[in-house]
Amino acid sequence: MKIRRIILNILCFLLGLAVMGPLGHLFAQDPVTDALRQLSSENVRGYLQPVIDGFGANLNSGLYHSPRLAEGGFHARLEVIGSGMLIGEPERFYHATPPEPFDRTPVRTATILGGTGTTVTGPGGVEYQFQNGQIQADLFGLGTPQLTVGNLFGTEAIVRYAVVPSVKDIPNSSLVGFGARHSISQYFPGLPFEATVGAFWQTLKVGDIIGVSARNLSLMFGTSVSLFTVYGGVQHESTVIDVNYTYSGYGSTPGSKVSLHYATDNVLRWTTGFGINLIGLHLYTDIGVGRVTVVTGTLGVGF
Amino acid sequence: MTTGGMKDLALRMAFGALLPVALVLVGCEFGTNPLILDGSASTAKFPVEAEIPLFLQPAFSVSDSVDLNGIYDDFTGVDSVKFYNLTFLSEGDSVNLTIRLTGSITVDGVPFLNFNDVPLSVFSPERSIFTYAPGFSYDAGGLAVIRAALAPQSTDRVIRMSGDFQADSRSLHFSMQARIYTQVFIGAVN
Repeated sequence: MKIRRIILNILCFLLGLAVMGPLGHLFAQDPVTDALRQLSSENVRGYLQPVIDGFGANLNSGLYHSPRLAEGGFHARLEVIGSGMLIGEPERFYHATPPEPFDRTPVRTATILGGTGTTVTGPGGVEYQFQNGQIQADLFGLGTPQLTVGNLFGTEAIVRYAVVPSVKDIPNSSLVGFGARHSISQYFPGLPFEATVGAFWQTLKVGDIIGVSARNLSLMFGTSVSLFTVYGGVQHESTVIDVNYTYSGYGSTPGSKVSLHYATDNVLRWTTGFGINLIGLHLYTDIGVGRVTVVTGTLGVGF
Repeated sequence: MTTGGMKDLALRMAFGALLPVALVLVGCEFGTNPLILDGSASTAKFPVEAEIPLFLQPAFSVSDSVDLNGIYDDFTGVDSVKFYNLTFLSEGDSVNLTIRLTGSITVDGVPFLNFNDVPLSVFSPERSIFTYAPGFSYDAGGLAVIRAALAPQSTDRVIRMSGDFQADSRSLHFSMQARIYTQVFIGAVN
């Protein structure tokens, strides 16, 4: 059962820092490394790709909200961002190549977010079943803490930082991100809306096994009426995830090193959302549409 | 506070209570389907080291037992193990790999693999028995023996592979291996 526990452990991490602890404790009794050692086939990439896409999209969500950047004076907000990729048919299936001695024509089968893996039949009546999906969900979520401080010459700084020490068999992990958003509408007095450009970089490490690097550039527009805020825009984003581990399963040699390099397919994402600024409390929700669709909710406190 | 101010505050409080609902994640279940993993390859090894005198036929016999219990023992919570491939591998120097064999291998006495003037090089590198090679064939009966041994209800998971061969050389220095590949199905959590 250890493999399941470890895989679930990883997934729990990907599902968010906030829930990682309790779920990880439920399922984890062995190191993450051991689970990865079992992920050997050439099809692992396609099997995990939806999770990687979702993780990248979630990580690049919730960065930019309030359009009142230049006029707001000094402000500081501590926010918790919950973002979730909507899981649809494209996230539940991929095409995998059967191993020898089966026909090598790719077949449609379940991703980690899908259902039952496809079974192929080969010579001599032998059968091979692709991995079953292991997560049944409609949303793939992530929780992220964020601090926003501004403004200086119409610019605010955005910082993300979280360190989760090694707990039992969950490796230590850290999230560090920083970026800035700058008002460009301040140079065009009389514009009925605020326009900003932003850039953000963040990195996340899980032990020595998983390394994530995400970047995005944004162009956002927004306006406020009373306590309501509406905003939208486009962002160009990229996320790369590297997984390195020693493989000891089928077909391995002693000390076999496996390095997987993932790049998300989310390049451009269009976002629209609205928010409410209460007394010291800020609430935002938006939806981003690109290669995947992400909904985001932000709860912030500050001024 | 003015009436407008009261309305403003009420609106802020109402939305403040409602919006976090949108953050709740629902419908997430883990491990509802069995996990499928590659079993460790079980191997029968047939080392052959012989210098056969001229007055004897250039023939040899090999035999080895394969304990399939290890596939089950590697994991806990195993529902079943399914056999999906069997390969044959020859190892030796270039001269020995040109040796041609005629003979057969049985599994628990049941005919399994048939060789009719097959060079060892056919199985170097490793080759599935299901991949066509001139002079080589397999019997379904042997596959059935392996499947039966791997079945969850099996009480004897040790199989014995034995082979009798004739070679076209009297200097025999090589090894052969039969490797059994399996998938291990581990029960769903829920």
